[in-house]
Amino acid sequence: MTSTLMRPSDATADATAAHTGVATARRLARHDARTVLPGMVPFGMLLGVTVVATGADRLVELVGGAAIYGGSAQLTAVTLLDRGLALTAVVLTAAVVNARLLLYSAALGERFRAQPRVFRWLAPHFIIDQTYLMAVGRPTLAGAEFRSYWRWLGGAVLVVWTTSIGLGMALAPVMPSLPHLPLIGTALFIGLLVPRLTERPAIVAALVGGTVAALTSTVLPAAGIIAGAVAGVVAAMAVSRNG
Amino acid sequence: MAELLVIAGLALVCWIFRITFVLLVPADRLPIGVQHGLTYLAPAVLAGIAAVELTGMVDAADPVGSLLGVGAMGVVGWVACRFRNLSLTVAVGVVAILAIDLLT
Repeated sequence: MTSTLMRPSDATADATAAHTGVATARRLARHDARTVLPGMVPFGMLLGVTVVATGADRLVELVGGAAIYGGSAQLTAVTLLDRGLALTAVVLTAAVVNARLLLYSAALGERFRAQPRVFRWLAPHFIIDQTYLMAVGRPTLAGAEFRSYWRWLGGAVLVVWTTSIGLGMALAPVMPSLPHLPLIGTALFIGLLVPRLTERPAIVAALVGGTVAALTSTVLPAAGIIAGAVAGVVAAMAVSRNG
Repeated sequence: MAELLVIAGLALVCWIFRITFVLLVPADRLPIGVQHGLTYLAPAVLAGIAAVELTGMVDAADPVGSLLGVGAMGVVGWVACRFRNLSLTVAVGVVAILAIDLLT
């Protein structure tokens, strides 16, 4: 018969193991943050430069960088406001750009579900392309380990993101014209995509997703990514069902 | 004031998107097929982002710059396939983009 009472040494061992797990999660978060940040800095700077070029309020946009925490949506909003679009139209268009957050929320929902209430309400704010992609690459992290990982990853990305927007604003007057700068972020996404193309449904998802996104964006730029993502997932589901 | 309203409105909408399947509709209530399909979301969305960025970069008024940009991403793709090293892939992208924008 085994005792259900935990001996002090067991409790100490469990606490030590939990601490080690959290420390490991923190180390993984720092590693993953270093992986994605080089691709984010140029995009943040581009947003900062655009804010200055359009004459938008720098402080509001800097706070917005942290509050929206989605570069493409904010860039869309800044550009459309500058073109004189109505406020509702600006918010709706920029929201469509970020609609993929719904899909990320669905994909990561299970990881947040068993967490404390405060974490479930506040931590999803850190969901963006990069944090989603890094987190799905760490499927074994759960509980306190996931909380630690997510806080460190999201916090680091947020700090660097807002700093790079500020840097872009500060350097805007002396920056040379770099029209291809956003492609540095694209290089990061290509680098993250290629290793995932290991099975047929993933390849189909990428091919269909890329094609539909490109075609849609020529007609309706704001809806390109979400259309591609949905089409890619549906195609992958069809292939995996038939295969 | 208008700018502040847009930022606040957009931040609220984005937060609602983020919490939808965490707080409002638990993700485990989604159909099994959809839950399985979401495992392929990453390649679909990555390819979508790259495709949209490249499409947006193509500018009829600057065919040479457009071609160089697309070519640079082709090289980046090759490096990613050949070496499977993310840091190297991004570094090649940075060098290629700076070379295109500063030297041409």
